[in-house]
Amino acid sequence: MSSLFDSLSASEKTSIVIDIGHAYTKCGFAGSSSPRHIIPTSVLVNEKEQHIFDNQSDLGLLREQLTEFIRLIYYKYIIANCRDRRVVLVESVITPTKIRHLLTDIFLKQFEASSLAFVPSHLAATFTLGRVPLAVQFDSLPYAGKAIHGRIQQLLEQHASVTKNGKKQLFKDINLKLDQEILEDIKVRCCFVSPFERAQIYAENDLLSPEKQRKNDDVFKSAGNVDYPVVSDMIIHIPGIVRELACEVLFEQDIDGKSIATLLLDSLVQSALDIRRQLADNILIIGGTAMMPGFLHRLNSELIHLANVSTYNKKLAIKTFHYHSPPGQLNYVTWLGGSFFGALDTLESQSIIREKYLENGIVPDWFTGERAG
Amino acid sequence: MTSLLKVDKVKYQCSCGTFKPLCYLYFCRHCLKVKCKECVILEVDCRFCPSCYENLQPHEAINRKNRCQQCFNCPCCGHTLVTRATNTASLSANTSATVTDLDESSLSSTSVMSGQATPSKKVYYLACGFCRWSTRDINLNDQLTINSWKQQDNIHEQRFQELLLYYKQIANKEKLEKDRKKYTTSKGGLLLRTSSKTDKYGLLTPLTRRSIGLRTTTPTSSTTSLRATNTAKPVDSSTIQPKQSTALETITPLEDTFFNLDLSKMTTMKQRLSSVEIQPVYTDGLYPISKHFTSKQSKRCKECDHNVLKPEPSPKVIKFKLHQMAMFFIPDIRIWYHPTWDSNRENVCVLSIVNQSDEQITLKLMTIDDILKNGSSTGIDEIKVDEKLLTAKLDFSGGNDTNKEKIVQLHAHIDMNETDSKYDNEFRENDDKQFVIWRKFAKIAIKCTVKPHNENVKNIIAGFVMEHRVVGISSVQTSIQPAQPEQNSKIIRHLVTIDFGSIDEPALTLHSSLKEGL
Repeated sequence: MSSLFDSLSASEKTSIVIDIGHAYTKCGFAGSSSPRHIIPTSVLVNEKEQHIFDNQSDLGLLREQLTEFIRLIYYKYIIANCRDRRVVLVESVITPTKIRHLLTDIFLKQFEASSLAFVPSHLAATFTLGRVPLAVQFDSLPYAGKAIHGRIQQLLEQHASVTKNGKKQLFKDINLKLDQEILEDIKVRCCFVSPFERAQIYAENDLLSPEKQRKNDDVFKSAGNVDYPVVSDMIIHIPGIVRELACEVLFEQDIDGKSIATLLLDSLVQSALDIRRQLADNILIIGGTAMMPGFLHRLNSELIHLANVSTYNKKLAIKTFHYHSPPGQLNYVTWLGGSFFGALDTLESQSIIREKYLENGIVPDWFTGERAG
Repeated sequence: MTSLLKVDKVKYQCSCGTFKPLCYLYFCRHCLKVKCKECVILEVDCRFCPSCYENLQPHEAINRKNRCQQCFNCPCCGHTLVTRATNTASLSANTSATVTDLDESSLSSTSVMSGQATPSKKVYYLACGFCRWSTRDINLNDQLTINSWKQQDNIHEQRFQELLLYYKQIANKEKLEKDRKKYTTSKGGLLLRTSSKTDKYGLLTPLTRRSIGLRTTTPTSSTTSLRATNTAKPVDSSTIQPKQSTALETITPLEDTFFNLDLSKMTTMKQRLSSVEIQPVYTDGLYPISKHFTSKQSKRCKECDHNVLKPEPSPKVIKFKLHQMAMFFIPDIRIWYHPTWDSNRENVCVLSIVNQSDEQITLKLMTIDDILKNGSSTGIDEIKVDEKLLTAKLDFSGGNDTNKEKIVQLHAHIDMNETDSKYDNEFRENDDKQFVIWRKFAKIAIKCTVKPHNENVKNIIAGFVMEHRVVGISSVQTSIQPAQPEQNSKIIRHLVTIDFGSIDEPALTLHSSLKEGL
């Protein structure tokens, strides 16, 4: 069955689907069940890897790098001719308009794609669920990863020690600034989202000071330490507390009293009264950060806890929440939606046609059949 | 020749206005224009495995998801995996023991020896020669045939197809409805409805054909869908409802293993993303990755759609069918010598010009001032000079000669052995000795002066314009009218900028053969 569909969708003119994210870009062909590649959104500039969206102010530079990046996607990763091929771009709804215009220009003029469709990432993700009437979408924000990276660096400075050239030193003494890549690796390999109960104990007792931590070790089993080698002669000793608390940044309420959980509840409060129940029963959480071990479990307990707290107690009668699991890994769910979209016959009526764009140069905000055509 | 590897010192203007080093430019012999990589469009010519050079037809390669079936990459480090053979006898002795690196190496050495002694059944496994990972690490059974490793299946495939089918039906329905709107608004609406049973005039063929197409995709609902097209109201039940996604019953809490984890057992982001569908968290989940194809591309001029670069379609041949790099048509200019810079006077520099083409070339060199003063002559594409780019003034005459246009001739690029010193004499007589200070075969050295615009200049960038004739290929067949070779030759001009570097840079050492010229 699947091979038959593959051969059907494998013609030269299959449209391609690209989801350009802040950190990683997913690319592949429409109508296939997973992207071909997930690659970092970066290009080599003077033999150094450079993230494309790090510097957004210079449009000329951004254009150059994006063109180079898209060329790489076409010819290195998915090996497809760009000419007269339809393109589906999955974009976040908060993408700045100038980047959207830039992408349109690059795809339609530079790469001569026959048409280009933008799909909002949240809408795309609901495609993967079948016919759920309503669903709350929650995308772990593009900056969540960055926030965790920052927190790891900060926590490491407080707690970690380093063995360099056989000598043991405190992390903050050697004034080490870790690369984003290393921080990401620490996040991916060492960190986890600790269960709600444990986080509560941490928050109450302020276990951050080492003396108290030692005292508490008898009653409270802390997470194990990890020795993380950075370069050949340097090892960072990451205490369990760093691994556990790094992701707390997602659930701590900031000065406005916002965290991921409160944002979700707020959106429930703002929705109409009669659909809240349905929304709460159909929550879909997507994004790479949601793949952290223990994330969903923690979020659920956090939501239940907050729903019973005075701020939401009166506003919201809902006390239970249900989640969906999409047919794919969480970090490419939005791409999957784009893949569905790109495989349909109606794609043409929903996209910007190259000839039209060359004629009038208009990039509409929404693609209804009439306006785009 | 200090700039031998610093190709970005001297840049040529592409027809689109950007400046690029000569070796990154192409030359279209149909438009007779310089083209950079933004001005050409790429086309995949052949896809092949970089390891075994298997060359596949496009549709076949796409079918296999651009991956080789025989070659594998290490999921751990990305290196190519090597197939190792061992015989079953030694295998059964060893599989019971845990396979460590040490065991493995002794195993492979014994297997070779015992293989010669007793020709028993061979089995194969994959190992990485770089990081010592092997398929035995993840407890995969050894294979009886070479490289018959199965691809890992995507567990979500079926669900995906189910959903896709459903969405295709909805899309079809939407399209049908739109089409019907078109018909009913036109005058033929009545006709359509009355003649639906006997389609006398073939008006309905597109509609019925589409409904047949719908029927083939939805075998259970063929009759209803047919009715849906003929009656005014589409029937809702004509589509298969996929199983709706149900909310998770239980949420798996954090596994206890995370509290005391072994760092060496966790996969890195790169390892996870290299198998997109599975994304294993632990190293046990790693699986050999089929090698991804690479491709050869031909390049086409966007303007006239002719190829500027076309490789041979076989992956093993490195030759080109068509190879129109700008290098082969336009003389190559390099910095040979510059003195210690003095921003107040004219600094004498030496540039070398090499003719890489197969034909003799007559070059006309002009300063930027000439171009700005005289404008363009007829028949030559105009050159736009952005003076903000340049921080210094380049002059060929040293300021005392009124004849500003410099014309030099260059030999064709031929093998050194076929020539002798007499070969150059003919041209050397015509040379302006103050200008061309050295000459050998297809290469000359010219003297020029560079004066920074003002004292604040930090980085010296100077430019000049070069003019010569190129012979192109006419798009019209030349065999009919061989008497018109002039038609497709044209004089073209190039704006060349030279980045001499920072003003603090010390002088380059002067080659001994240039000393008398200066």
